[in-house]
Amino acid sequence: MKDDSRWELVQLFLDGLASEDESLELAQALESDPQLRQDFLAYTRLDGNLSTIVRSEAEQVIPMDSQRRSGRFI
Amino acid sequence: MRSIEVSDLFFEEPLGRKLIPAACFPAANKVPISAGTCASVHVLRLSRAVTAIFAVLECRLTFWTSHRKLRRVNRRHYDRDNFMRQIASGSGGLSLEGCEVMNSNEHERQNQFLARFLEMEHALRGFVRSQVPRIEDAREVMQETAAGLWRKFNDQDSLEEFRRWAFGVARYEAMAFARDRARDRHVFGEAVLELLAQEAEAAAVEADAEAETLEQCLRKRPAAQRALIDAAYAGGARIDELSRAAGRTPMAFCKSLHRIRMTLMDCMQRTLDGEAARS
Repeated sequence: MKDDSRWELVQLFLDGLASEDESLELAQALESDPQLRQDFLAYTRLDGNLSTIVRSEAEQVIPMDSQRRSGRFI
Repeated sequence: MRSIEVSDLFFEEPLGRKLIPAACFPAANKVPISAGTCASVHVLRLSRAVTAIFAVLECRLTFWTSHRKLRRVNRRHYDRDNFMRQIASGSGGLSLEGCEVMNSNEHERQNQFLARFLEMEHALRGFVRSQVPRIEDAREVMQETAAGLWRKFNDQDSLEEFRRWAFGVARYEAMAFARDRARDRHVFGEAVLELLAQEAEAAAVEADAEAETLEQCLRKRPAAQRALIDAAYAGGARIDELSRAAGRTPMAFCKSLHRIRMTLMDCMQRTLDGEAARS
């Protein structure tokens, strides 16, 4: 799969650079090739997870102390 | 859902007054009362106090566990904080200021939803990503999916039913998004969507382990590669903008990113295979 020319279509699609024809070609390849579907989904999971990890590291975690201070002890 | 106030502990609310007959206050009424009447009043007051204390403790425990869950999720991987806040604020469960006591059924329902959603979130996210060309759009679709799932969550469904339903909702949201944005040219047809949904659903169990392994593998990458990943994923910028800023063509930029992703996939595969062999 890694050396397959279809892999380039996957990249283009996921980077938002695929043309209409290229998207159609990828769709046809995905429909006919189960291995490509599995690889494609593994790649999209990786892509989604990278986005989540990078974003969560960039975001500030809610500080527990400030939550405590804002709370009201009963 | 009702609010617990400090006054609950001191029986100052109207209900408490009604429960205590005037006959219990001989000084004010100058009427002798029977020992039985006073005993029953004391029992009432005691049970009321115990109930109120437990309610307050439960309220604080609810807040504490929910807050810990949110923190853990936020720390590990979260761009879904808006969604979580929606869940939290929608049910009122995290408001310590008002310290509302959740209906126990609602609390249970929220916990069940979180458990099921988190279990398949990575697989769902990957599936949504396979439907939507831009990662920012995928994020939006994912949030819509999560919010839709929460709104119509049926806690009677089995995990299997929830999984099937969740992928259906994700597919519907992706298609709705494409229709709204008139990006149909980039969206796969029904047949491909169905096949991808089936594969993604089947891989849902492994997706969680993949996400944890990815974090380990990412830490092993050289700083330059990590910087490229951060640039590509953190800001939501388009590839053409990023490549221009880096002085490269979009295709060259994509190829570099692709090489790093493939390295990460190899690392994940090796790690997961090693773990499987050890166990």
